Amino acid sequence: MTAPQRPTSQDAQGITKLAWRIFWRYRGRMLFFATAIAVGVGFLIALGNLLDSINGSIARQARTLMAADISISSGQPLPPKTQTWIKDLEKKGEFHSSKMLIFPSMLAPPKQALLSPSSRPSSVSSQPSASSKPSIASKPSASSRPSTHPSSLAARAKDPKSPSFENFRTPILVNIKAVQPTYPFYGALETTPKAWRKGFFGHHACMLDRSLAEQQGLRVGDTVRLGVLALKITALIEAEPDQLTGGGFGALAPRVMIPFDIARKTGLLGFGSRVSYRTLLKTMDPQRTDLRRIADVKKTLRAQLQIPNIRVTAYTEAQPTIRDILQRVAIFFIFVSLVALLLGAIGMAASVTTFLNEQMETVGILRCMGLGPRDISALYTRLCVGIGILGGLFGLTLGIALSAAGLSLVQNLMNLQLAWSLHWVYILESFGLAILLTWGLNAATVRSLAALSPQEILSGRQSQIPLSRRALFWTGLALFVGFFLYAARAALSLWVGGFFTLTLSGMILLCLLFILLALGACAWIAQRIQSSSPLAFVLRHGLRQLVRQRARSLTYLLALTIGVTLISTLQILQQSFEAEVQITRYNKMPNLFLIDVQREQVEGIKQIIRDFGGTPPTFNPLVRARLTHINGKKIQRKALRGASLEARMRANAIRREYNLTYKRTLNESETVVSGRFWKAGSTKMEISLEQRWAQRLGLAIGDTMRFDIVGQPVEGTITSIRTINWRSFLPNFFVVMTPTALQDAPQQLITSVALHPPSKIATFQRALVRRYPNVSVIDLGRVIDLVRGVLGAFLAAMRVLAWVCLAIGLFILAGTLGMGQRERREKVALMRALGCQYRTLVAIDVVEFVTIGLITSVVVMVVSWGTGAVIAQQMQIAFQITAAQLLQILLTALLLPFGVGMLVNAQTYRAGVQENLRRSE
Amino acid sequence: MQTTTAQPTAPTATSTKEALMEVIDLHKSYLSGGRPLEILKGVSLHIYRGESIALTGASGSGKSTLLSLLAGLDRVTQGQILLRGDAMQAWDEDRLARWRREEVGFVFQDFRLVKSFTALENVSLPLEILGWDGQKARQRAEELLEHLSILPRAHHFPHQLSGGEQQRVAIARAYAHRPLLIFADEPTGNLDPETSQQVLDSLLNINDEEQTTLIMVTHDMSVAQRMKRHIPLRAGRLEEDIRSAKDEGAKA
Ligand SMILES: Nc1ncnc2c1ncn2[C@@H]1O[C@H](COP(=O)(O)OP(=O)(O)OP(=O)(O)O)[C@@H](O)[C@H]1O
Ligand SMILES: [Mg+2]
Repeated sequence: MTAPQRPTSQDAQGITKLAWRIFWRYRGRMLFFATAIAVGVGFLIALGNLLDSINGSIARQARTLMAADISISSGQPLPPKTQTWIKDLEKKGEFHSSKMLIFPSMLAPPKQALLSPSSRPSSVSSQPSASSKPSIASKPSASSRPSTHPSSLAARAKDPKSPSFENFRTPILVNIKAVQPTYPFYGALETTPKAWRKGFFGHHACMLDRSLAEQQGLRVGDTVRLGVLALKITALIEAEPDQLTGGGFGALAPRVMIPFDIARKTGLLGFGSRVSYRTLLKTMDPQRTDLRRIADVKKTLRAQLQIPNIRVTAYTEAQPTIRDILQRVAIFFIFVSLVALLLGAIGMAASVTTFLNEQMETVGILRCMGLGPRDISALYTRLCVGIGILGGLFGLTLGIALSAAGLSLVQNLMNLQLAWSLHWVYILESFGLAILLTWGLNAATVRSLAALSPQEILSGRQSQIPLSRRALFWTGLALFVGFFLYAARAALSLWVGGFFTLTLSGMILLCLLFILLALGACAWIAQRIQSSSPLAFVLRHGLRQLVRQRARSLTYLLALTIGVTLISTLQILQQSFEAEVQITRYNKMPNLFLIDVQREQVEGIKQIIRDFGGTPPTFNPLVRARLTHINGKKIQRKALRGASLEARMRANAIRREYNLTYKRTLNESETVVSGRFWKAGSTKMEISLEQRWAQRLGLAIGDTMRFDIVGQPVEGTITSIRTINWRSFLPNFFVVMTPTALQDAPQQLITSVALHPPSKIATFQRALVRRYPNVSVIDLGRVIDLVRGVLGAFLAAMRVLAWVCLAIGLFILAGTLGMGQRERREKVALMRALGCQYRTLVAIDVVEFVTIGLITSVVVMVVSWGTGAVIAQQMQIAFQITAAQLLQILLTALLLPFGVGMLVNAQTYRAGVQENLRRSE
Repeated sequence: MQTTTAQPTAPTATSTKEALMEVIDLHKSYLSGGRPLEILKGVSLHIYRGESIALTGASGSGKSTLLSLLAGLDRVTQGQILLRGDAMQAWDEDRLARWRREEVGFVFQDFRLVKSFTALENVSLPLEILGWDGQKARQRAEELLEHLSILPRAHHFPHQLSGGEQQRVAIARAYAHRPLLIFADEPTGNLDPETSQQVLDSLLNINDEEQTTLIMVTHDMSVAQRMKRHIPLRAGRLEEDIRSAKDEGAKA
């Protein structure tokens, strides 16, 4: 700035040539700088790519949970406007749609099935009773026989014959799902026999849940009565992709599927029936990657359907367990990618700064030869851009290689179908990021270097490129903002981006503070060790060496502490997460739900469960209730017209029928997040709500709710809000009340049972049903397998990522530690010339490296603990750190600088005086 | 902690005629561009205790090279250097280091101060290496800096010192531990005539009083003339051995 500006600049070509010459002269180091940044960039690309693929495949699994991309569910048929809109989507080739009805109903099994449910094994073939049955069930069979011909629905509709009632036993509660031939969009409906479509659509047919069939002694070919229709069982349902979200779980009754077209004819859809009208949408995008379009459509639908009782769900929200995992793991992955970038940037910036410092003399000479500050600035900027280009190229190559390796690894580990392509965005991102970082991080140093006067440099008066506070501030700020924007983009949330930016910059500042304190302490100690013992000599000089080269020590202590902190935090988080979701635990998880248990049956059922080696269950009462008042105000549909969308959404959630429970204590999956859960003996009318649910309804502690339970009003005050770990698969309820409030209401009991191995389930069910035919069993094995699969995938990915990150981090840090070798060579040569022993020299360096290690390990332990805890909170996992982990951090931080230092300098120690002097030139 | 029992002290004590160092047909070549470049082409020389020798020659003639070979800072290509009859090329680096620590002082042509040490710390370094305690080393270093009139600069770092000041620190460092041999590569090259005389005086003083052997590279003939011997080096060989009048008797 103060230096005189030359009127004409050296011609650009000359500068480029010079930059190239310097680049070539120091090609080894340039290669390292480029590699450092490339490692960060490459890792980022690979990670982004891997994440996309994993997310995609998780999404595929999540889709199967809903059997669609978007599901619209409503208490009445969709308004014509929306129906037209959906038709348009179909016409435009964007989405397929499929309709579905879900409603509870009573299904009557044929009488002969009742006779000997247990004596009729579920196998379809060669049963003596199979031959006797048709004669009894002949009437309904005969009536539906015309339907086996490819006749029209209208023809069958004319068939007025109803099944004769005397042939059927008492009806049981089932959950009907009427589907169209396009069902399911994702996943597969597994049945016995496998080809379920055969003889199903266009017939008076139905499929039953296998458990229900076994319980009731029904088999394929039997006829059951549903409403006014007699339906032939064409298959048994083994697994239903959308079992949980498809309305089965909420209604808590076994599944029966019928063709959509006969639903009306059952006569069950009249006024007052509780029917859920569903429309499923599936994107026609063959890649199924257009998440944004799906989100758009969801939004439009939500906006259009501002009508109470309509819910629009995208698959990403389909299942609390999956949604939960996705959210947490996404946070972890974002953290990993930011760590990779930071590590690369730190390694590169630290080593380029050292290099630029060593270039001071060259700059002094060039200035004397007539190059102006602008030329110098241009020269080194070009050099940085050159490094950036090389880094981008390496980064891209590395990214591709890592992606390919990572994909095949993850593919094998998770048994997922992953695909990836080299998108031009990656190429752009790779080069852009590498150049931006090499240029941006070094811009301030280059400017200061250019601004130095030749006199200042050549007189040796400046031993270090002075960085103005202002330049540091602006670089810091630019970095901060850039980081924030990047993090926000990666997280798709300003809040999460801000969170990471603040956490990580806080971490960096903390590291800096600790290091400055530690260096101060070292200087103080070095002053005080003056005795003549060889040990004192070594200690004094080791510490002095560290303290005196302050800029260098600060740079690499900072690089080292931040690097190791990031890596350890990553490891700690990964292990905390792993501990929390322990896959092995799924072997002890509840895998069966028992529904419709009566109080007097509890003891007997417990006995059966014991006999089968299941875990002793807890029974939870279930009371059906309708919410009528909030804070004393009646909820009215009319009052909501014209109200805000939020009010309608709220009403939408409100106007439903709920399952309530009462209990004295919380189960292990529940955590109170605000308020206090009542004491076991509370006689007040108190309510505890699940957090999300409470948020959706806009309810808070202190509000009152009134429910209608079979005409009887029950009112209570909300005194606590809970979160639920859905992965526990325990029976959980959004609304829990004190026993006082509900114990007299009509109720049934439900429970979950852990019965392993799952092969026991069939016999267990038969034993149970033999004694308690009213009890329904829902098998959760499928869902648990799915969750296990997803979790396993994530854990594998996390483990791989954490290790790769560790390896890369260590590589970069090792490179950074090797910097500043020139000075060390000269010093070693001089000490040798003055007659210092080889041993003493090495000992001095050992003191320095061990001190670095000690400072690093202490800082890292403290800071990574803090950072880990903060991020764990954000990931909603219980943060835990073990003694083994602390030891691991300690050893890594202690041994890394020591090992690398010794390795890098081994040659220096071995070399003769003249050789070292020459190399330090 | 190191003993000097290995030193053949007897010969020096009994006879001054016995050479302290004996250089026999010394060759040194460097590899340059893959081909060996011979710098010293057979140098032979005897150095006696208490001598002062001026080494002159054109730039690039190999003076610095010879000096660093004599001080054991580099390895010879061919030939021998005997220290009190003991062949130095057989010594390992630590043996050489011990010898330098105890008996040698070296002034580099380009000073070579430890950049991160103050003037005072640079001067006390050889003493500390010898095992002096920090306090005593400091005192001795201060005396020397005082003597060379740069005590006010004691706490400055090399980059804060002028060339002449750096040179004086380098000289103080070379004789801080009262070595038997001082090798100095143009120690007065950066000094004004007055300071130059002063530095030379003190070097010769030590040479006289303590029987220190001084081997000095210089381009300054007036400096060379004040030495007992003057050896010009040309094209890698010693020309003739010029002895000043006062040292006639020392000739073997
Ligand atoms: N490591 C080396 N590799 C190759 N050549 C070298 C090396 N060191 C010195 N030389 C060459 O050896 C020759 C003698 O160098 P030396 O430093 O001994 O000269 P000098 O007599 O001290 O010169 P000056 O008076 O300029 O200091 C020079 O030509 C130099 O280029
Ligand atoms: Mg020289």
